[in-house]
Amino acid sequence: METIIIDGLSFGLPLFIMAIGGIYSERSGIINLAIEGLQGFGAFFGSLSIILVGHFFDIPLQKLFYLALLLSMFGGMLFSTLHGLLCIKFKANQVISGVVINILSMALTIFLTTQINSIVFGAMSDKFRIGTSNRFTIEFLAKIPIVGAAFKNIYPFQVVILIIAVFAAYVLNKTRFGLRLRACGDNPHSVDAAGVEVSRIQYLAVMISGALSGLGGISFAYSISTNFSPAIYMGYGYLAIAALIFGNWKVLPTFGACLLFGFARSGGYYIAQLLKMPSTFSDLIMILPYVLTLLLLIFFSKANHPPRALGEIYDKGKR
Amino acid sequence: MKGKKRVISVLLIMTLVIGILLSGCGGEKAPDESKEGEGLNVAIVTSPSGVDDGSFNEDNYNGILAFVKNNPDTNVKTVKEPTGDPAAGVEAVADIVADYDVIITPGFQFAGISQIAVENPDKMFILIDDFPAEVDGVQEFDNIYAMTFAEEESGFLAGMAAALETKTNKVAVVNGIAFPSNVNYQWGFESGVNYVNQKYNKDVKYIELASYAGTDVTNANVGGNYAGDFADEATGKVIGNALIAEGCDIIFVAAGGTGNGVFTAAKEASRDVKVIGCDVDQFDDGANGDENIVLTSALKVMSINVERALNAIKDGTFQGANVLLRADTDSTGYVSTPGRHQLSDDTIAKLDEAFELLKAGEIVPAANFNGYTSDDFPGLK
Repeated sequence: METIIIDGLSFGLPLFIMAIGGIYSERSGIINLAIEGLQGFGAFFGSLSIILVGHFFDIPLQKLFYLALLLSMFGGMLFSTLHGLLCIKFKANQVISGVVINILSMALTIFLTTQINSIVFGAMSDKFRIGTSNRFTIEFLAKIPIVGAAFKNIYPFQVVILIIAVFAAYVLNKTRFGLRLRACGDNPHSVDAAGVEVSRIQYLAVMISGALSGLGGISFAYSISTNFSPAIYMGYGYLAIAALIFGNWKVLPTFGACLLFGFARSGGYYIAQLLKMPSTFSDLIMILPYVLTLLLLIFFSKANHPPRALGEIYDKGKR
Repeated sequence: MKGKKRVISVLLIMTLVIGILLSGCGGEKAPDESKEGEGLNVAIVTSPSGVDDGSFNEDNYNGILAFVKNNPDTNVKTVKEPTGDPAAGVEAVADIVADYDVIITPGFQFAGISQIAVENPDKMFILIDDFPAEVDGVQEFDNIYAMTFAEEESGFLAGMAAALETKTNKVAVVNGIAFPSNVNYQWGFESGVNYVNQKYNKDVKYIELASYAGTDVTNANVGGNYAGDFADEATGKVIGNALIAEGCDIIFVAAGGTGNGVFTAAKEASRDVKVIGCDVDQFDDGANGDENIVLTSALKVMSINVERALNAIKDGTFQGANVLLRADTDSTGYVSTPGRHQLSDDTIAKLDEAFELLKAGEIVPAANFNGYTSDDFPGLK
């Protein structure tokens, strides 16, 4: 039971921060299917930076954990400007741009990883070993029955994610910038009429989305394989998009959706272990939570309202 | 440098165009393309984890690289077959067979290449880990050199090492898919544990999670802990954590990329958990701060044998055959290089003693299809 909560949170929270990034982008009117690629590129950038720093300054990788988080956000942000450029400046189709960025990111990072490994480190390898992250337990809270498991074996990135998430939700819903951002997604002309440049806000939104995706990506790299490798492209970015649609483009419901995915996944493993069926059947059990999600989606999606101007290319002259 | 970059980018575009995911090439490629036709054209087609998996595929690839070092005019192409499915693997080989002299296929799933070999008698094939599938009643082909390894011997040594070094008296083995090579590792490991229990009076148990029991190619339940995939790190970590929760302190990991997840679980474990690497020396993967979680690695020495086969092709002495490589050609074994393992001297002495018995054929650990079980095999009693 404890493992369901611990593993569910360590999976659900990175998903959540990626979904928040998606919310920012989509609420500003830019469809962002590129989350998958952005998280991969962010994780690549962060991993590469810390192993270079560790290599040349001889610092143990464990001490560079927060640097990795920070630089992954930077890397994701950097790569997301490409999506911004294509969608906002060149008015490209946003869906296509997103898909292209995913493919580009995958090919580019795999290529660069093998090349950098062989050129800089002289090793034939398609992964960067980034070291393990510490985990900690908040003793007095962990003693609470059942819920206490949420305070056991926490990865530091989970705390970082929660803090950023609260801040991001506040900015989105309570500040002037957030108001304008949401207006860009619903009625960009009104933003323009108020004398604010729509494209500037959209750029910022896409870049925030990239940064948060990068944070999610490096979190997965730490919690699953302690490597950056092509195995990071497991489709979690798409899952984040599903979560934010499930959550109706709102932060709190999206949080619920991400936790549902997280617990469904760890619960699936738990059920598979409980049923003691041979491994060939465990895949079948692992899809059950997602089948459940699909069914829920059917009932909930009637009430969903995507931002009104989502995916529309903003044209000043249009009435 | 710029020329090299251009070669790389041209390659990249070509690869994209034919729709094959690029796994990284160009770095080792001979820069002079005009000499094509002089050296051998070698292609290696691998499972989804690619030639840089730090494990099985990479060792084969290292054999090719060793050959390239002595024969710089060789052209090498790496192809990553993205599904791991036997039919798709054979298809991937068929797609490229016209362009290469030698095709190297590491993996059980490529057994079906024999049909292609029959249709292309002028091409050579090196098949690792399995014998070619029958075509018209024939099982040996003039242009296929198929090598299999007595994995159970390496697994046996890993099992002995685990049983001799464990403190909780609980050990386990994690595998990918129950292909014969994996089952051999698993049963060899269990044989090794039983051997230590018998000979050195210990009471070590190997833990098997019923929910990850493997189903082998004959659909028999072979037990063990199988992730059902060679590239699923997340599941590997779940299995690793479950085994650690059961009390295991040494885990033998023969699961390809999935094994990375088990390594992560061991690194994060609150108590001292060690892993035994597989196929190649995985010591570098075990670095965990100032410590290392890799106890030793069970070896399957493919690189030397791939290089030998390539040299034979070059010399014109190539002879198609189906061979089973054992300890007597040093094709199986474990890592005892100082600084690359954490075994005690006592354990090494006992392992070396057993290794001699393996060479002499006095110990024959259980394997998937050799008729022995881990409770009853020559040399146990």
